[in-house]
Amino acid sequence: MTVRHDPETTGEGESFFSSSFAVWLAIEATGDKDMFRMRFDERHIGNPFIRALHGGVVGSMVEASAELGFGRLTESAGPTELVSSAIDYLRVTKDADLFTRVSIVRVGRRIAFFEVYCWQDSEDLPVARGSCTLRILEA
Amino acid sequence: MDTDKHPIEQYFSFKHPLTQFLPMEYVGLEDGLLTMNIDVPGHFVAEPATGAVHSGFATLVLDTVLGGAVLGHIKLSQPIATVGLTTQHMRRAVKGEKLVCRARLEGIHRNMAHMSGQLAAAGGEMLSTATGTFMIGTRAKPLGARL
Repeated sequence: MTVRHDPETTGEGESFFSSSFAVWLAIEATGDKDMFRMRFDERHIGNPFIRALHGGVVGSMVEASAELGFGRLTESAGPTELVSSAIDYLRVTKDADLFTRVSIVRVGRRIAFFEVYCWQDSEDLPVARGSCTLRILEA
Repeated sequence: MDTDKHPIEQYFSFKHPLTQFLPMEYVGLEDGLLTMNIDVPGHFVAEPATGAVHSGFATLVLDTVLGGAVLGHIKLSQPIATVGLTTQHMRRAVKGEKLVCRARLEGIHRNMAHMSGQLAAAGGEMLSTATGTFMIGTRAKPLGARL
């Protein structure tokens, strides 16, 4: 996907939040511009017996957060495309909301690197972390 | 439970809230390579103008198929957990497109399965590749037991 700055909306990449994917993932912005929330839904469960979140759902949340973070944390206005992600699953997850916080590792002219931490109960107890590489496209 | 079925076929035969959103069909297991066909659903579209789905859709499919391939290699039914997943994304799939996902076991050592996989268009164009590590026999307890 691409996240475009749209002056007609309230913030960068806000139009993304109304896309089918964002609705399926149930991703929301929060009061912190670097923090996002996934509202738990039964479709996010991977293993119905231990009721843990699907690893791919956590991965999707990491990737979506990195792209939204680019729009919100940098002055860059160009669209982006996610090139790669590497996700470590640090703790077992449960059937509850997932929060992410995005930080910039480096933003170059053509490539940007982000780190994303995910948690449920407490930010001090991360359940996953991800490294994402974004290609900055010509606006 | 039909024990003649591959575990990923059984997973997709459950009325599971997630699998209802992932239209996948088991094709076969040949020389250790698990193959699944996928019809790209509309739920994952991130760009309505083009119908392109989010890269997260490919991540979701690859994690599912790599994990399913792990289950096909272990004799006893045991829970597994994704420990690490690295994905490279080329082109985004488009709603309605037909895809093929393949996954292979590279090796198992100390209950850790090392997997690789790829998601391609039916015509052969590569869309995403992934490597993943999965713990076999996770100690994760049902939520009720953790409370």
